[in-house]
Amino acid sequence: MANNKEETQVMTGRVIVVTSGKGGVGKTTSTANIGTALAKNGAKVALIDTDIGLRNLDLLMGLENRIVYTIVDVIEERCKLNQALVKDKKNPNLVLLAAAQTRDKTALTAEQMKDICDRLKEDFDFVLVDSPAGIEQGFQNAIAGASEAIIVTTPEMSAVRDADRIIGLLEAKEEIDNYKLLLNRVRPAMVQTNDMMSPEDVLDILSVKLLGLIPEDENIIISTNKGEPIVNMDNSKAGIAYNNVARRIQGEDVPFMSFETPPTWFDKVKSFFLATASN
Amino acid sequence: MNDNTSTLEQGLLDLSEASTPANMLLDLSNIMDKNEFKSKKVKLVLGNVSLTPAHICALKSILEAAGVEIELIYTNSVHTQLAALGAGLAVSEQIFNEELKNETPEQAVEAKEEEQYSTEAALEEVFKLETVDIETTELKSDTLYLKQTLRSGQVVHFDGNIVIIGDCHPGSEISAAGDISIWGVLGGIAHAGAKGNYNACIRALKINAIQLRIADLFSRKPDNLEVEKNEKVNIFKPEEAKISNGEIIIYPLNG
Repeated sequence: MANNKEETQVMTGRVIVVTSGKGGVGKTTSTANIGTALAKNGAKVALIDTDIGLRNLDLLMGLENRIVYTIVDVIEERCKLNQALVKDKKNPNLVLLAAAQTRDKTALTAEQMKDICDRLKEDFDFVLVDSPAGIEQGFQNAIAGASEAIIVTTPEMSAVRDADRIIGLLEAKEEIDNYKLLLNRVRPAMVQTNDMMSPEDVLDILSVKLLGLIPEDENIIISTNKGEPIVNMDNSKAGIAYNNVARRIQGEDVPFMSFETPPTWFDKVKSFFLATASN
Repeated sequence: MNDNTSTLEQGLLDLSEASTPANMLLDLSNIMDKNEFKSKKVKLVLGNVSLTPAHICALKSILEAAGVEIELIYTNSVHTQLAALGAGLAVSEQIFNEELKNETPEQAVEAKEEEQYSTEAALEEVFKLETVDIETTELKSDTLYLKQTLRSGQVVHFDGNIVIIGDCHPGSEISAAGDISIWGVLGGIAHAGAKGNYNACIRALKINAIQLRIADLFSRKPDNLEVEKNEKVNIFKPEEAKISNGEIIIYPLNG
């Protein structure tokens, strides 16, 4: 965390807000995993949890026990910003600015949030802001300092509707010039049988660019309970997908995972029988 | 601006007397400083003044500093309407002065609720009301022309015709005293002839609306229609919705 004023280079990091409108679609999980993946690739990353009163990002990162000062302590000047940044257990490039659990979203204003983002982006390549659900004060605070946005949604009408609302609100904010969609909890088998909206369907409705597709993965539940981001686990589909997302954010052109499973011999036999039966 | 105390209590703030945007911002600051404004939400009457997005931002900040949220902006100027829509605010055409004095927000809400007709008598009452409306007010034929896709939660009101070059996503609402023409997919709620004009119509390159309303009639998308999960826009089918024999009927436009 060098703050050498002698160096003439001022790093201006990218401040990206991760938001959704709908609750429970994977904002915090995505923030934790994308942040961890970016840090693994060498970037200096700061994570900010703005869900004041209902904080979860510290749990997912496994850093709950290490929090001494929170963002509210920084705002109310009980500590310096540096003192409130908790280093990740495994990667020193990654820090967390935790939310306060004992307050609520009125404890912070948009201006204060913007100030913190401005200060952090001088020292970090990426500042990921985990937004709470909703469109009220919590959301307004989270987007206050951001210049980019990741909109998280699942392939369900309710989540997509809410995402549309959020995109409308983001479009109205001049400072955010780049926003992309992260489609989470995709079940390829259900998409193939037309029981779930496909990524194309969602993109058609929302008219927004796609950042990544994260498949439904039971390992997420395990990783959440352990406090270990899934990108650190081997052989998990969601982990690979989050790693790809991080690479795309860093400018690499990574093709999207194909979800089509090739038909097994049993499927072929079944479809043969069904075809002959209908004649 | 002394007789504004009653309107202040209703949450209506008339700034239209200002001649320039700078004076308007000054007037607003003065009103906020005097701390007369009690309500948490405000409807701003901006008259004919043309405001840029920067002015709208400044208005918002002055009000936010006083803890007040902007509910609606009444303005005659198309520039101001676009700037306000761009800032995510609801916009409407200037309401006439008589309405400013007579109709309180509570009455407006009641009037809307009365639209849920259950008896013939109630219907006839409204018919009488609507015809009086047409005779006394001049129907403007101005057209609001917006090149924007409306997303969920965005509303457009205009006392004239509305043309939107773009889609209207479900969750958006458009209400016009005249016709509504959408050069795109209409997915939200469209209300044409909002002041009682039964000849108004709604057109779109594809009508997939949640509800269509013309004057005081409304119709909804059928429940048993096999609704695709997505509204594919590959095939446009230009259609027009009009009132025919007391019902809203959709006609194809290219046949």
